[in-house]
Amino acid sequence: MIVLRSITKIYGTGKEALSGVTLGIPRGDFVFLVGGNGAGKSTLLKLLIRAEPATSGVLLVAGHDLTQLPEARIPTFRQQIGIVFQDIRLFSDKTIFENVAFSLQVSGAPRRVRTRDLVMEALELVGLTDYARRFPRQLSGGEQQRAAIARAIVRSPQILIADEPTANLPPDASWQIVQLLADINRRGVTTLVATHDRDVVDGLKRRVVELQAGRVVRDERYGSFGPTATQASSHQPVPTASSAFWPAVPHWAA
Amino acid sequence: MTAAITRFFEVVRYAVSTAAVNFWRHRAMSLAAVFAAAVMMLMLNGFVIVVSNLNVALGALEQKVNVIAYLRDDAPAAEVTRMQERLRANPLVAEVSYLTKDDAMARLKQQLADRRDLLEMVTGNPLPASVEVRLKDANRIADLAAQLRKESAVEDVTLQQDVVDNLLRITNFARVAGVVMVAGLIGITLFVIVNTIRLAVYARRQEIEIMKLVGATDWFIRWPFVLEGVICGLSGALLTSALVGAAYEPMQVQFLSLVQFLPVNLDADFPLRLAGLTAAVGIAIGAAGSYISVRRFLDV
Repeated sequence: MIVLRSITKIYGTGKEALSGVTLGIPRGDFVFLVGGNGAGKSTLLKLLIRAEPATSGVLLVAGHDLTQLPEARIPTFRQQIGIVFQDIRLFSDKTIFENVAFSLQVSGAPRRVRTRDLVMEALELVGLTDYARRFPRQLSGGEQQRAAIARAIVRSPQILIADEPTANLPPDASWQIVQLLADINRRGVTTLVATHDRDVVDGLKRRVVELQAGRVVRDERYGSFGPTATQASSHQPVPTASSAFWPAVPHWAA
Repeated sequence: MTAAITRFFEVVRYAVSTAAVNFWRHRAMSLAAVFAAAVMMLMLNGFVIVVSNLNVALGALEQKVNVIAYLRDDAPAAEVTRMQERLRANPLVAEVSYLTKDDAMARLKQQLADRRDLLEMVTGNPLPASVEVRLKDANRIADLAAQLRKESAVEDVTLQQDVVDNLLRITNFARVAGVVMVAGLIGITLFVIVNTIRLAVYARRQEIEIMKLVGATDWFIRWPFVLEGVICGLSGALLTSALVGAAYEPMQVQFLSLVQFLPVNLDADFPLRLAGLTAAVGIAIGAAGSYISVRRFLDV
């Protein structure tokens, strides 16, 4: 579903944000992306949504070769993935319903009745059916983030990318958000979550990829926020089913 | 095909409703853009009115430019007739009028009605018959004079070359200057509108960024902004036309009483045509202003 092969990103300032990153994320996987500030997490996510082009390497996302993707095709590509932002980024002057429906309008809205059904389905999944007519400012931070998740999944994306979705949220709200993401993942959506939140990573025990100085330094199948004693010493990730999906890409070989 | 048509109408519906909603939600900025457009188009209207009046006046003066060919007394009547026919067929000529010797004398008597003493000094009729030719284009006066001089029936040709040259110099300059200044004013109007709308768009740059990130195409984002610009431009144009419409009649009366010697009578449709032009300029400038303003924020 997602393949990075020797991906390097050097910004115009000359800063090398990613250096030869190779990684494979098979369909249906759930991955936490961890690492300190400046490790390259944000850059990696920007590359995955084609907000930035890679400097070199091969980057395949949902069947699109992003290193070759023409500008005109970027919107179509983005319509196939769901994105959740750290700062939520709902339209403040639209209701929750309108915010979620916007995703459908962008990608060619189905008939209005169908739109309403899809939006309400998404809101039901995130537990916000009673908030459809409210504006974002009338919701708590956690509720706003759930609305943003509804917006991201209403188009039934193959991939969900979340950038620090629990930042600035209280622990209980954070946990609800992560549970929600895990629930969405169980429906077959490949999920990649960049986070600084130790509790959610340790609590969920899913695959953890750690970046340091633009390189993958850890890739554990059932990892925690910090390296476990044995895996930290060996840096050997547990093989996953990804090899069946991407046989040509040794995604744990980084 | 059906899906494409449905999609098209969905986008149109989205763009129109979003533009209307945004115009209302951001009404402070919308009003700023409307007033900026109105002020600039008011100046533009004023200028167009002045230039149009000037053009009418200068056109009327140009209409008075003519060439007089004095005929030989011994010119055969048939030759004079043929010459007139040739002149009427000439593409440079608007009007030909023949003045016989008697007509010339009658006109002189009329002009000197107060000076019978002078008329008494005139014996017989020394005045030649003449052909007065009015030109379609005053710029071609020298060409026509040259053609007339070649005519066998013509004794002499008079044209007030200096007067004509000066008049042409003034009218040509006024027209070119008018076009340049109207174009300049449209450019300035566009600049003001772009910057006003850019402020509005800048305030909504995050909105544009979100749209881009959730997969909106550039045109999907741009259409509502462009339509919003059109609403602003058109509202400004309507405001301008209402003000101009109210002020036009009394101001024209005032103006005509000041410059009675100039024939500055614009036709009755002029205010309507001006309003149409203003609306077209408003729509074009609003759309172009929004297009230009949004462009720089689309690079996400």
